[in-house]
Amino acid sequence: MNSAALQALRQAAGPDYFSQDAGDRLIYAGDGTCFRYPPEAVVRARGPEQISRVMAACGKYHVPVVPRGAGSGLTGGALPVAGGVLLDMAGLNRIKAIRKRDQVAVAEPGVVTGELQAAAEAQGLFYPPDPASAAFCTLGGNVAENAGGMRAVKYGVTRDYVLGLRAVLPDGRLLKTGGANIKSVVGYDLTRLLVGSEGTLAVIYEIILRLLPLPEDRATINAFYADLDKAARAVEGLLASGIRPVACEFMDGYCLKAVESYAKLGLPPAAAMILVDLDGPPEVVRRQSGQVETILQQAGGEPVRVAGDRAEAEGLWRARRAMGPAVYQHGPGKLNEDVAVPLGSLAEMVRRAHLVGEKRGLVIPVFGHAGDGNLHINVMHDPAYPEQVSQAHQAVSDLFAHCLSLGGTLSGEHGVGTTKLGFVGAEMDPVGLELMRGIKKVFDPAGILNPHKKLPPPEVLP
Amino acid sequence: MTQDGPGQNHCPALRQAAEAARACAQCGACMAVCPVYRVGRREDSVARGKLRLLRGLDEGSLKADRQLRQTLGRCLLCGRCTANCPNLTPAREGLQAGRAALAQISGVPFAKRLLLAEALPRPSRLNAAAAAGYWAGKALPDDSGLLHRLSGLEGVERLPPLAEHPFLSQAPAEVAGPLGAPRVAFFVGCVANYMRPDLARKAVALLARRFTVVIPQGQGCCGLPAIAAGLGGPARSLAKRHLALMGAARVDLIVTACGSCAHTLAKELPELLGQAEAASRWGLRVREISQVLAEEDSLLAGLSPRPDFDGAVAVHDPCHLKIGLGVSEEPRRVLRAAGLDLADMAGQDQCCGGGGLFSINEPRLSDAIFAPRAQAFLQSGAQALATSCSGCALQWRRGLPAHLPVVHPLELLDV
Ligand SMILES: Cc1cc2nc3c(=O)[nH]c(=O)nc-3n(C[C@H](O)[C@H](O)[C@H](O)COP(=O)(O)OP(=O)(O)OC[C@H]3O[C@@H](n4cnc5c(N)ncnc54)[C@H](O)[C@@H]3O)c2cc1C
Ligand code: SF4
Ligand code: SF4
Repeated sequence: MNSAALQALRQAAGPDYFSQDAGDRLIYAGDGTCFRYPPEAVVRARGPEQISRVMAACGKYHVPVVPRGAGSGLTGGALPVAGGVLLDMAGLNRIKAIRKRDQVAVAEPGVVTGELQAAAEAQGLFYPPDPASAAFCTLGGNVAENAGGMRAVKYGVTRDYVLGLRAVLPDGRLLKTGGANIKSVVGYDLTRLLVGSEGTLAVIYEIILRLLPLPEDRATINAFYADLDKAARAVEGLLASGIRPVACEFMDGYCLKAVESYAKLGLPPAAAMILVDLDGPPEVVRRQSGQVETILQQAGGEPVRVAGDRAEAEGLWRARRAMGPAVYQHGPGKLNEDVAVPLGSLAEMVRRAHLVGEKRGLVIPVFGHAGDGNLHINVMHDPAYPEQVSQAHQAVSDLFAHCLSLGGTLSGEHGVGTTKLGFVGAEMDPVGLELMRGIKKVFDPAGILNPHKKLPPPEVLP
Repeated sequence: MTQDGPGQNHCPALRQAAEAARACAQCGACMAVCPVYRVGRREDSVARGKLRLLRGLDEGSLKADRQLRQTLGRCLLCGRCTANCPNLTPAREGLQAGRAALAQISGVPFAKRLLLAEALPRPSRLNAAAAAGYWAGKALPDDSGLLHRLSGLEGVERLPPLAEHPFLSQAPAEVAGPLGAPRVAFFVGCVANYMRPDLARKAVALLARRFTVVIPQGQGCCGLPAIAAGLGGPARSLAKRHLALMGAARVDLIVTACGSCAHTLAKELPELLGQAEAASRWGLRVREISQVLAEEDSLLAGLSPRPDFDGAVAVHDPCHLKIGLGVSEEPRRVLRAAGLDLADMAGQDQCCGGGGLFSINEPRLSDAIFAPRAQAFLQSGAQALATSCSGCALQWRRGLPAHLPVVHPLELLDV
């Protein structure tokens, strides 16, 4: 970036919102991945007009811009891989309104997901999307990644709650999509186009979200299985029963072992655990938890436990919540993939992941959201040994091939970012990809907004 | 892209900081709990960002300049990041070591050095400073940086005036308990000594119902301000002195009426003295007074409330006590045993923003962190705020209207 560009940017951002400081460049170089790419300058977002000026200046000097929420993304979406400006959205964190009559919330993108959940709850309302990072990730990041989470089986993902967006286009124009209407079919659905666009089409500065009534009651049930097929049958039986669980989580034997050695919860030795959450009116929840208990038992669950109260429920959830850190019991390094497969192929995908592990001489624990087919596959290795690192990367390729052959998708919720860029060409329809490139051109003809993300460059196409 | 690699350096504090930084998986979970991040939403105020800066320093891409010092100062050393890190990163410890590294590499500003390196380890100097009205907003000389800034803080006029005679200048060497009673030492701490001698007197009187209380002369500051400023040397010399003094007192427990002093003596001192076995054992014997009272039914049974106080009490948990030492039920048990009503206060275990030198270095952030605490207190309907830490008490005193009492739980008891 030359000095004229820097000068223009400083002025566009406002001196108090602009930094070229070495320390700022270092701390905004990373996100939830292990990579670091220092930006050339950092701008703290202040509002639409300022963002618009910054975008215009970047366009004029051809400087890349990368929006960043909380930097918790797991695929490098917020990494400034081409340098340029890092646009920090975390400071725009006002919940502008919770409109009880309309059942919507209007929020700035820096609002932390958990803060919105709490604010909605205080008014008897419910914002269902619940990524495991909800206590620190932002709504802007959730919208840009179309984040999923634990409650997707019953309540869907972020996409299902975004009614409207306010955004700044790469040339500085302000864009409004949608509104507070639950239904609207006027024009193309630009709102949904921006959801999951990973900050490559527009910078979102305001979000209108749909809220639901808060469920009255909840229940939690877990079950352990001596083999994978039984666990898979339990999930199938549950989903076919007509009951819609809020969550239906799965952990394999490697995971259970890791959690036990990390958190010492007294889990029985098993090849799989299934964890089910239900919600609704108390009488319905009571009846359904009895039914779920029977289904889990009939599939061979031993033991099956129904939590008596919230504290006990938290106890059952503890094993699942400890999974993130516990997985390192199997090795100091991990490549974390979040493939999704059709529900019928769940057990097969887990089995194949384990086989890939055997073939590559690595442990590959699998856990995830069994109710929606989204699996977190963790390729554990020791980065100190180059051979292991290379085996781990090859294992990921193997896994992706298996996933696609089962009709799956390479990412259920974490996005493409930069880390999956080399693989997604294999999944995408070539015609679709051509259209997507065209869409990117329409929004961002100069290619300055979060470049080299989401869409594979032509040279890695199959 | 940069790949992670260990830095080349020979400063042990920096090595410790860099190790913590490398253990950080950059997941960002500490953002959910860091009080400084919550109010500013800047990556440079959360553990993840600060650890990354320390890694930069270790790897040579950053200089130990004023800005880095300032950024690392934006931390309350509250310990929430460490306590909540899913990856077990010793984040707070790394940040504290980072301060020590910075102080060693670059030296701290003179004014701070004056007070922290010179006065605090030598009680006579602090006595002199107190006598000269140095402290708490009485006519301060221009060149006294820390004192000057303390006086410049909003709300300082609400702090208790300096006591005419520090507690230790008039304290007996020993107060005999019942026949054959176990011996405990009382560690006074700066605030009780210079500002709240009545609290110290009450603590000793209560302890003497069950113990023989030794009050070693020559004790001084617990060392927290020095540690917070990264001054390992002065902190170590204090630690050595106290280890020797308490050793000579031949006691079973070392009791203090301040959560921060208790935490420093129990946790930091063994660390400073290189985990020497004597020091570790010593650390195990440190108690905040509410722990001692809550553990002794005979003491609890004899408690009654101060006759001139009427109403409910809200209790604020000091970070050093709750997160650092796992103590939060005990002060409440003491108050309940005396027959006092406890008010429910939202966020009672949330940081008040007073930790270490934070309120002096970062008054605006500190006030922003405190604001929701004050609001929660006013909404709780309580008539008094009780907290077992001198640092928290000063912060609450500065922040609450003067007619609302801010006390240590003991100060609500009739002794
Ligand atoms: C421990 C842990 C658990 C996780 N669990 C889940 C989970 O259960 N489900 C799940 O889906 N994800 C999960 N994630 C991943 C991550 O939290 C989500 O992807 C989240 O949505 C990212 O939000 P963020 O605010 O951190 O965004 P960032 O990481 O800062 O950015 C993510 C992307 O969004 C873009 N972006 C951010 N703000 C804006 C904006 N205002 N306008 C335009 N683009 C923007 C960025 O450019 C980037 O491409 C987890 C991560 C961690 C560390
Ligand atoms: S929670 Fe722990 S691992 Fe995660 S960013 Fe903070 S210090 Fe690092
Ligand atoms: S010790 Fe407290 S203030 Fe400091 S970084 Fe950790 S959580 Fe934040």
